[in-house]
Amino acid sequence: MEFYEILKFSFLISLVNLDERNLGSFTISRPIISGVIFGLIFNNIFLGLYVGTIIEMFIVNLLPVGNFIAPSGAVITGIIIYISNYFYMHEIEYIFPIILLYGLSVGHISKRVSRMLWVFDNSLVEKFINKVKNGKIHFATFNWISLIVSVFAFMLLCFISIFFGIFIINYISEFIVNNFVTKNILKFIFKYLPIFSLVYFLNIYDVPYKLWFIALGFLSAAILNLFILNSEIVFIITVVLFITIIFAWNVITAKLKI
Amino acid sequence: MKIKINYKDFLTVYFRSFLYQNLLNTRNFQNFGFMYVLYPIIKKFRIKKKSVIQSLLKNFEYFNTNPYFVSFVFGVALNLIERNEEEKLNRFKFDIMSPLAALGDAFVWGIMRPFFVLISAGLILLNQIWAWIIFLVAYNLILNLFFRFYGIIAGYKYGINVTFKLAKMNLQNIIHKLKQISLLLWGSLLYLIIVNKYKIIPKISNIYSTSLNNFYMIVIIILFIFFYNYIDKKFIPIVTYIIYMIIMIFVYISFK
Repeated sequence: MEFYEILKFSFLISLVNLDERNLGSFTISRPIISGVIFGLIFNNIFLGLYVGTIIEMFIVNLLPVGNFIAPSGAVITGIIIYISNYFYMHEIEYIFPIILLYGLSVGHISKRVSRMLWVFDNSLVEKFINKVKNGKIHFATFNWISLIVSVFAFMLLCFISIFFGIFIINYISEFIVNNFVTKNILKFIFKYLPIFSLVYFLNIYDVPYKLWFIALGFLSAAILNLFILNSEIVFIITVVLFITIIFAWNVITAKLKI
Repeated sequence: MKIKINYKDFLTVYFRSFLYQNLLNTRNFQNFGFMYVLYPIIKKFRIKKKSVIQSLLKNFEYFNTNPYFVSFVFGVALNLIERNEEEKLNRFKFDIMSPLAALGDAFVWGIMRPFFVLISAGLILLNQIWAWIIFLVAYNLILNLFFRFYGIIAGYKYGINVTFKLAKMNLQNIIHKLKQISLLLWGSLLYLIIVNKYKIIPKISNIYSTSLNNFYMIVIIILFIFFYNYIDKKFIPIVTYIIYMIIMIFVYISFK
């Protein structure tokens, strides 16, 4: 039964992953959104959101510019959520950092798979041009072939990764806990993972006086919270509104060159 | 009677542009997608099949730019095809491709996506589970709905002069301002997270739901902010992650 479940889930991951390149770029394949989708399937939206948010902040700075291929967010998120859900009844806190490491490694393999698909598409486009020279123009056929091959390739990758992952992570975690670090250290890493990812996220911004801007934001939020607003929700809304107003003002002044 | 571009053609190009990146290849990148989007329009204006084939083959050359900003090129292509000046399209494509990619990539991947990720992720960590909707809706409204459609309309309206229109939008300045605002937002979210703690973790873990220690958090943040720049430039992400883990272990041991 588990075999079919993994196969079905891998198929779903590869369908969601189509959004990355082949279909639309509606952000469904981004880890935050795909995390929600996969989380809802396991009836555990908090796990989906947690994994999605962390992965998103880890890979958001890998920009698909020119020839560079970013690791597939949906594949990483899907694999991590499935394996985490599998080990959920055990102590997820100490297994999770290991699963995350495993998922990120598979993400780098997904880059290779994408590259192979790009090369495969070379031959498809060549065939298409030859057909056009002979007077046959069938865009739809080639689009479908590319979509189906992409789904199949990523399904295979996800299936193997999940199957293999479930099999080895139990042994790896025991091995690590017995030989290298204690459970408490892994729990500590689990607890502060969002901070990792939040700080890692920062390296996308290359602005002079970066730390001063952060300090200004931090202080203004602290002053608002301490002296003016005590309610949590009102505070969050006010901060977001405040930032939106600055954003709007800056955009307007930038455009009008005031 | 002279054939003209109508609203159906705009919609056709708009909807086809969602499949633009399919068959992206290592040799000529987005050449297939570009012709896939424009094929119905070429077919409409070239009545003879031979001229359609000629037109397709002429345009099957190297093309690679930002998938959202390419809509400006589609608009210009509509304009040129309608005015029967298709020979100018190839030259225009090659001239505009790289600047459009540089501008579009900096705007879309470099600032818009991280900006919405920052808002959504920050709120999710504060247990606002609806916050993923912000990312989904805002990103799709601005880039998929507005930029894709506006690009086609503007390109068609201004023709080759759309470059001046793009320059007037002053996107470079907007990018710079948005980066500063994102950093302000990052700082304020950091404060919120430190004060309110991650409420999402106890929801996942039933066994280990103790509150987080602010002191550890602040120390780790300061350490990372000062060292991430150095670490990240030297190594690939997985190695960076491992180094982070090692640093954390040391922090843990030192405060134990």
